[in-house]
Amino acid sequence: MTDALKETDNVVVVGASAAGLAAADGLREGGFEGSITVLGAELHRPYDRPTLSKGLLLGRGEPELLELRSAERIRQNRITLLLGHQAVGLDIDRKFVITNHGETLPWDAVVLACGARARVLTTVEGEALPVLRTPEDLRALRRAAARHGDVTVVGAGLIGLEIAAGLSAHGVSITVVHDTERPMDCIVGPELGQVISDLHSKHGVQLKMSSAVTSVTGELGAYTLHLVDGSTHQTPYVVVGIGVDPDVDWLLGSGVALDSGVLTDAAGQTNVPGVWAAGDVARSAHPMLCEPLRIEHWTHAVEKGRHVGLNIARGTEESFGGVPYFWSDQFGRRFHSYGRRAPGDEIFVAEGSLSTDEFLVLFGRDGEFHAVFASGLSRSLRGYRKLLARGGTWDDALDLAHASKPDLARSAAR
Amino acid sequence: MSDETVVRLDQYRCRSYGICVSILPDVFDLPPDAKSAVLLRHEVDPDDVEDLQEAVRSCPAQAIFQGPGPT
Repeated sequence: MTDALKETDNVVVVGASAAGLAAADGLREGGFEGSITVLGAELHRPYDRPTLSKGLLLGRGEPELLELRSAERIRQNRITLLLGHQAVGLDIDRKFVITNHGETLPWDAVVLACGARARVLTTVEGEALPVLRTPEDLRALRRAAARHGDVTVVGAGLIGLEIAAGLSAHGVSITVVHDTERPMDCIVGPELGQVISDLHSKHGVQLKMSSAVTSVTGELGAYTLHLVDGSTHQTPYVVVGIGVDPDVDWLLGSGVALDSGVLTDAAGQTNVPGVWAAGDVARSAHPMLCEPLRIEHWTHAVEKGRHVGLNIARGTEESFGGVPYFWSDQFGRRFHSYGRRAPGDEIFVAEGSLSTDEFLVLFGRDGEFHAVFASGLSRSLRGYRKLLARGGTWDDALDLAHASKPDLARSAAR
Repeated sequence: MSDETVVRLDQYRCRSYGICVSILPDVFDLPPDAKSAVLLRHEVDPDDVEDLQEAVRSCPAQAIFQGPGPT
């Protein structure tokens, strides 16, 4: 148990998106009365980022960004929001955050919520290919799609597939190039990977799977992708969705332990007293997972950020065990998933059928219940979500499936 | 009814993400082709107050509010 902070104390939150703002709110919720300064690297007021690859990509006209926090709420919570101020250094001995404006902000506790940057793919000629992470990226992508009418997406993860689906709806011809055999393989496994592959094929997306990109040459209007099998793919425009890297360069040498992110315990504490982390940048222990993992999901950033804020305000070191969750919109289908599928998990179709638009499947193994994934049917998720939160077993999950659908053959559960 | 069980939804802000439906399906619904989520009830059970607070936090559009609005 550490001491709770006092009224005179300062907390600096590095990052003004989902995790950072939730941490600031959590501090006030936990009764912290001192000063809270939130640094935002972008010049935009904090905004709803998920919509960039969802509604706004599908939409037309000037993208309208929804504010993540009203100015009034930021004022009510007495949060000093410094936009365009990026942290460039952390001094753990004198307890300062140093910004790109040369400020040295003192802290008694600091929350690292600086997020992640889209992983970059660079052409042989040295051009960093476009990604989708900010409103500026979105504008560029929409303009390019309209101009070229033909776009190649590198990466068949959530962002890559949402870009493919969103641009297809605008009549853009899309090719998706990906290294594994099926899209989203590592997140949803082969059965659902095939369902998602079929969905994209049905809507005219060309999928080039098992096709790792070895290099890209050329320039805007005429790129050549060189693929692992020696073949090539020509395209006027490339957008890259191959994951994100935690924004930790500014922390190198600071004394904070880094390993594919800022390492934290399940409470969100780093190895340095008073230094906490949440959101995409944090690689944290989690009671549901066997090793620390970066959980790069929006609601996880919110819940973990708040949790860290509460811990700091209350002087506690409570573990965070929130169930990881993501959702994705593709071709009018809404996917939701709670928990995390492990490699080799058994799959059980609890509702609907994989050959239709609506289904709900469970993942688990050796008596453990790991995850639920639904296409549509979001009203059925609550029970499984609760079960995951309380560490329910595979049998509990199957019981719930049978209770909500009595005609489901018990034998089908194997 | 206690203030903390009251739920409000700003249908202008709502972007139909549907996260609220997965948390509280008895309170929120997303009818097919609707432009926004709808409230099935204006109050949650006292046992579900924590879930309501999570739904408020989890809304990327910040369209859900707990407690009665300004009168």
